[in-house]
Amino acid sequence: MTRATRVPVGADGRPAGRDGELVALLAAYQDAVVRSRLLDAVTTELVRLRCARQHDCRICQSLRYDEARAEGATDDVTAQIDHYETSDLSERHKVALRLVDAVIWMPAHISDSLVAQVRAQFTDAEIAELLVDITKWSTQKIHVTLGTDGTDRVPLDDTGIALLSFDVTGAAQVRHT
Amino acid sequence: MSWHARIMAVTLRIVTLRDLQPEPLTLLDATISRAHEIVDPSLLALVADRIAIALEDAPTQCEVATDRERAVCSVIDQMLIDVAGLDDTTVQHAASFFPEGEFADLVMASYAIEARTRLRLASARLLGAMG
Repeated sequence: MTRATRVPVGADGRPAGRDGELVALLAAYQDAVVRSRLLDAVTTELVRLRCARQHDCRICQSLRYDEARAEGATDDVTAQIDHYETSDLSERHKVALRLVDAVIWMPAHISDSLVAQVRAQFTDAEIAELLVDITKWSTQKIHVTLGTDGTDRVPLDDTGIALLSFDVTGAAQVRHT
Repeated sequence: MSWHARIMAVTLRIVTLRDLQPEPLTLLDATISRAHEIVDPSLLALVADRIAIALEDAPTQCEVATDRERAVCSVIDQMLIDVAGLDDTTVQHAASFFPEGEFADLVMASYAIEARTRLRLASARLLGAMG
């Protein structure tokens, strides 16, 4: 579906006139989630991209987490996310993606089977990080709703991709490949 | 407390999401608190109601009385179920009821409440509680 910018935006391409404190608190939430680093970068990237695909966030789908790329989340790996159940991804990664889908669709009805799978693959601390990761990577729903998820300000390469990294505060940095 | 009771208390202690991710949850709570300061309380109650209906099968508590509320509900309901399915007309119509910035604030507030609800429901299944 094509998507117009649906609200007035400022010079930064973000919605104009928002409450600065609300924006800052939500950003601080996201940064705090990113600073939690119990999960490996590849798992984090698969979760991020599954959220991006589910919500059809244009910016998020155009980004690749550079640390995850270095650790093995190549284009061949990330291309398997859409059909992960029949993919070559590890069982741990498949379980993580099942959890993403369950939290995005009906978190009250996570099956006993999936609960057992998650507990078999992840520690409590890792489960906690997965859950906050899913909500962090779903903040893109705000931008999709407002139509401010366009890639016109993203330094894309010829294949439509840019690299994503995070500084020590958890803030995102985007750069050309 | 007896040694037996202490051992039982430790054994039965529920691990909460807040124990394991305290900083993000504190900041999410603060985001929602700020939302309550700046967003029309009746609209925020309506949004919370729609979230409870969609995610928890809760009975509805709010009446949708105005065109503005109907427009907001159309956006929030679709945002909850499948945000990619939202169309330009639905969002632009809802935004037209608000001064610049206030509709975006409402959408951010709605997402924060939605996120906390999803975390509460999922952590109850996977960890024991959100805390």
